[in-house]
Amino acid sequence: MIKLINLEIKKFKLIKYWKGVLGANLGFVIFIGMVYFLNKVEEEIPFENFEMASTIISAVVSATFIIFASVILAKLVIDEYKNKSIDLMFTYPISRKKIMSAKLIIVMVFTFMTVLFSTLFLNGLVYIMDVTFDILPGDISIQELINSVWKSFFIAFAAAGLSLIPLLIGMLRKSSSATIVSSIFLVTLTSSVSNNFTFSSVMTVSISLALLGIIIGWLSIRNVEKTDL
Amino acid sequence: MTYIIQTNHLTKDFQGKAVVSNVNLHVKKGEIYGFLGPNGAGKTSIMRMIMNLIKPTSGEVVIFDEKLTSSSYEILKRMGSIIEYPIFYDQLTAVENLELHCEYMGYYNKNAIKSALDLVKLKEYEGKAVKDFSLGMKQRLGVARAIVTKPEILILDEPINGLDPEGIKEFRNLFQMLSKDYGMTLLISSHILGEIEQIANTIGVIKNGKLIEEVSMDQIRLQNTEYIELKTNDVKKAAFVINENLSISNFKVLDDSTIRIYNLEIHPGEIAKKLVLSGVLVESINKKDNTLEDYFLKLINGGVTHD
Repeated sequence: MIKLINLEIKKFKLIKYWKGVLGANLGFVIFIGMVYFLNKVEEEIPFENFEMASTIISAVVSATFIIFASVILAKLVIDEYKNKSIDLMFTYPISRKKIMSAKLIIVMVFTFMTVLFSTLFLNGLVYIMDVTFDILPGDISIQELINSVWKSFFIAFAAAGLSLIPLLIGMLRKSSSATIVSSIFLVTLTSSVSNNFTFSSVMTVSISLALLGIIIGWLSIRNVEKTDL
Repeated sequence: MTYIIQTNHLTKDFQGKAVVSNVNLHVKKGEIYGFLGPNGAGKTSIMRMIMNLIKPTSGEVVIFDEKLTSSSYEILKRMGSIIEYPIFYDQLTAVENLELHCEYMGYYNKNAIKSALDLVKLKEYEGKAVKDFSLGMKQRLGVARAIVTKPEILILDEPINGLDPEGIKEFRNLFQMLSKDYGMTLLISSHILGEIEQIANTIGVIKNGKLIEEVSMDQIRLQNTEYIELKTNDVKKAAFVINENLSISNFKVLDDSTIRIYNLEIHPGEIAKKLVLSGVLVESINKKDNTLEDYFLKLINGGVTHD
């Protein structure tokens, strides 16, 4: 399996995406900086507390990387079907389930890792900025910091599951644009929910969607041997 | 193992329409099997079923004495193929595509890639991205990819598409070499008879999804050689004259009024003259050049069916 994953990475030159990931993180820093300074200029309190800051961070980060993941998903799965290169893949002495699993694992691991490390990085940045420049009202307790780490793991997991949902629409239409558009739609939907609800209800919705994504992934792996090309 | 590839009552429906119906294919080990039929006859569908890319609606494919199921993928290690047109990862170079292929096939031999590219005369383009390749070059690379792992069975769907006459000739030699030197079994489809008849040992003719003929080339040649057909009232005497006076021994008495002479160096008029002079009444004499093309055209345009 590791070998299959490596071959997929090599085949689609996925390593080059590190620039994109780095660029996105730079964007997040600028975004948070802008939110902070614009609010400062209008003499409002930008972030009431650390929890608020980290909620905004995780929403933006997971939205970005779910869309990013849909681009990879389109490339790895949808385009292979559209270009019929999947025909070639399925003439190899490797079970189709394994080939499909390798592709979906890449998408999920990519989303999980990027969301996790970006949220941790940005939360850490806010913490350091607060310690040095006192950007938040009050101090950040160690407990809050630990909580934010746990939340990051949760959010990264939810995002990883969510990232597979566009597969359903993408495979039905065999279209990469449908895949990417559906991920944007999904992200808009989940973030509009998160504006009005508490963390726990947001988490319930996210976890259910994540499970839905995993079920979609599982079904497409299961069906891959039965479907004609 | 009498047959390396065999299909039993192979049938495939697409949306209720039979694309392949009741096909019983028999490919012997080590031979070149020519798969002949007009476009859309079902050749590709059969090859896709042999490669396990699509599943038969009914019937079965047996390869290496093993029935294909949805999970028989190990067998694919021993097979190389081009189905429809060769597909590559366009942004990768020729060599990268072959390297990837070898990795997936579990075949590790660095020299194999070089020699495969050499065989199809693509050595100088090895570092070029496939997206810049012409159709003919892609076809060549497709063949290189199919043979790089030295498979026992080679399935080639219309392999000479997009090649120039020079390339067609090269490929013909290459296929013969693969069959002779490596003992590979080749299943090659084409809609062009001229290309198949020169290399195939056995020909399967397919039309409207049905296999209407499966025959060895030797047999066809025997049936369809050119000859002079002579009708006379006295075959006995005629035979004597032909044998003695014309010194032709290569002839056959078909029935009590027909003789076929397979020696074509002699002019029919000459034979008629000798016969008449010897007092044999010649009812008719004519040269039959029933070419292979006529034979297959007759088959494809209706006529004989074997079911």
